[in-house]
Amino acid sequence: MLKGPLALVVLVALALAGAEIRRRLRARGVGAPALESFLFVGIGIGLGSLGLGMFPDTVVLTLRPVVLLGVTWIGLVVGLQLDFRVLGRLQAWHRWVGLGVPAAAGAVVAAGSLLAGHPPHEVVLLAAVAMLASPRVVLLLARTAAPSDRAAMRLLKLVMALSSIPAVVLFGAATGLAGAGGGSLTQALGGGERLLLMVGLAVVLGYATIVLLAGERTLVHILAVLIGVTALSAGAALLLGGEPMLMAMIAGAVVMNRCRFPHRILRAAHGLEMPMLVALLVLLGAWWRAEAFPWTVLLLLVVVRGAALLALGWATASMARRRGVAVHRSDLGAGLLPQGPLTLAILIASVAHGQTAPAIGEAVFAAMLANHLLGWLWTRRVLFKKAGATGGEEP
Amino acid sequence: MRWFFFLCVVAVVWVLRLLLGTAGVDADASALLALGLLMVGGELSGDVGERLRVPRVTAYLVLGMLLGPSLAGLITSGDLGALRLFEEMALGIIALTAGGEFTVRALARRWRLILAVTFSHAAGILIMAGGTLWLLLGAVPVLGELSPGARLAASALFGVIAVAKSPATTIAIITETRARGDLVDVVLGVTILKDLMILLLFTWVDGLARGWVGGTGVDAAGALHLAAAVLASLGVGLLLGVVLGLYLTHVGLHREITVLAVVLVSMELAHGAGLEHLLICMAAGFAARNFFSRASESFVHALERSSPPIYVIFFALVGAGLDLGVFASGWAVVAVLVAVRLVLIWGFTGGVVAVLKGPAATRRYAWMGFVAQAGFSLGLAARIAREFPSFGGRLATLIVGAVVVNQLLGPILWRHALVASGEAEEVSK
Repeated sequence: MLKGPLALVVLVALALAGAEIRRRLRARGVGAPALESFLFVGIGIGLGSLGLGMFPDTVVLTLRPVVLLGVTWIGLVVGLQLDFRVLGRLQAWHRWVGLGVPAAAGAVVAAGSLLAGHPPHEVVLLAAVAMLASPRVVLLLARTAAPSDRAAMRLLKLVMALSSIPAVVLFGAATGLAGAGGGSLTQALGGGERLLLMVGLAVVLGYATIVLLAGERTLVHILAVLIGVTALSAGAALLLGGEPMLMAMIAGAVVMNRCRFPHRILRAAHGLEMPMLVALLVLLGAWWRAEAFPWTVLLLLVVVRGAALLALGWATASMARRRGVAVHRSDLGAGLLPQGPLTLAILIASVAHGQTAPAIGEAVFAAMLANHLLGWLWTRRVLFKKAGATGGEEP
Repeated sequence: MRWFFFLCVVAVVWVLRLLLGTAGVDADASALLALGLLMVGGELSGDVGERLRVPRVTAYLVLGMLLGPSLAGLITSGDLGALRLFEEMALGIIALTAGGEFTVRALARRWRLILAVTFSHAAGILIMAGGTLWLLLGAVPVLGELSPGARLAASALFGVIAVAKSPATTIAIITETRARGDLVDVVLGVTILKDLMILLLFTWVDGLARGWVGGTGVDAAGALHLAAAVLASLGVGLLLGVVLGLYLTHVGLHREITVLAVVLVSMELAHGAGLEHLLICMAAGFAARNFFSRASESFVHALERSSPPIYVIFFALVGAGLDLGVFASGWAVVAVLVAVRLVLIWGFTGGVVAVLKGPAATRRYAWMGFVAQAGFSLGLAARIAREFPSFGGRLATLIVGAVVVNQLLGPILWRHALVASGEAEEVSK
């Protein structure tokens, strides 16, 4: 097995070759299906025990503080995007569609996994994963081609933007209610009380962030405080036996909705999101053990989720038409099939909590990859005019 | 208002720690809580430091001391162990910055001065600081009853530690003040060279000392092995720097992640192959900066972007790790040893620069850049305590006490030197 600098040389050579291939493909007008997230997992597999052997498969648990910090950061970014003023301006049926479609897809998969006999923590993970949809594919396609149905596109974007809320809340609340870590306090308090305490602490941290960053314009100082708040959220949530992602999301939402100028904080948080994600995805890849995974998970997350989303897309289109919105396509659920970085973050959070067996994690990952590719092919076919057509929508 | 909210956060952490106790608590959670407290508090204390015209790194150190196990206890010894990963990552980035700050042009222009100051410190301070402790031990038995060999061994080991300095502090203050000039070039050059030398010097003196105490004698094989490790670290570092430079020149995506990846690989190599993390990163930074002119700007920019949070983590953890109880117990002897070291650094540095007709500012102020001592000296002290059970524990106690004072004094003096010499861009603006 390759070790140390030689492995890095190989990795950098691969990156150089990859960058060159991508540049040539782009020059010829060949687009890629927004697979960067999966590519980083692939690099992790290459560096892990199945490949070059630089990272052992226990690396996620060895580097648990880093993993938890990364996952919590993603929760913070999700929270920083929850602008209740924007949500309040939406029409009521838009809100129902935005939150209801992912929640219904999650419920269908949860019911399926219960019937298949999965334990509760796996049911929660599968439901949260089923709820999430990545907008990357749609946004990438919109750069080169015009959508064939603009009203359907707008509805799709709405659902994608809101899908993270029920997913993170479900995952966080379920982890919090089931949490056993933390010591005497967590044993003394019930799940609901601990959740309440976590929400209270998250609100305090959110307000502390606002005050600490008042008037601060330097990016690195904003980042330093945000890293501190994220670490505090992660530490406090874990000590209380809760989910760090949820706590950071609440703190982030407080910042977004109570701060006078939250957008520079959001920009700073976004700046570090990619490095955090890359690190997490590489670690997730290194964790890969190539175990035989249960096909029921793949079936639930690809077939059952896909069918549920198509049915919900059809129902949403019908509802829109009844309200006088000219949606021509009924299969807009296809646009919700692709899955991306946030789904992977929830998977790695579950791994870091020691709740997910490698076989389940690998099945979830395989399902996400399948959903992503299927979603890319289908969305390109049904929701976009021929590539290269003018009038492409700006992402 | 900002302090009120920070105190609220401190109170929350305190209450959580109090209610949860220590038994069965998730160690990673506790470490993350400590990290959060240091990061948030570091930003506030840095601002206070600026208002008091004290370097930000000193403010981070003081914060670490206040929150650490010696005083408030909000950061436990267990947290310090768990956060070692972050500390090593920070040290790697600081070392990359050190290498990146150093250009071949500066080295070529001042090589005679850099070599002369380094060797005068290595020989002069080692002998005279060691000699001072040897005389002191004759008058005050602070290390208990010692055989002549053990007395000589303790003095020589102390001499080596007196030569050592904290490269991280030097770099942090240069970055903070954005200083450029002759003084910076000379102090940086000596810092890097001293770092190479101190490892070899310590191994050599350590071997001699064991022979004097009556142990295993001079460990020639160990010294050779270390010399090989130093050379290998430099070679690997240069190779990593070339890879980094190639990547930054031809790909250039995710620069901060790439820099972090290089640091992680260096850490892995240091642990796995027995190489020196600090030297690998320094050499990598030097190669990336000097061999790739197109990449050097983006490299420096990537380092500058990531440096402030890194400094908070590193110096606050160093502060939290300092054992203040040690200083309280033997402050008089510590004060003498610190004063003697200061005089020796001043004398040798100023003298050598004057003899070689170096710039006036360098002659007057360069010594202030060599005062600070931190993690490296503490690591050597811990090794002495382990290897010399008869006197090592008490000697390490004295060394830790001196490091506390030097680390508080060093950044203030070095910042003053950069400001007074006119090389500090930020402050003069």
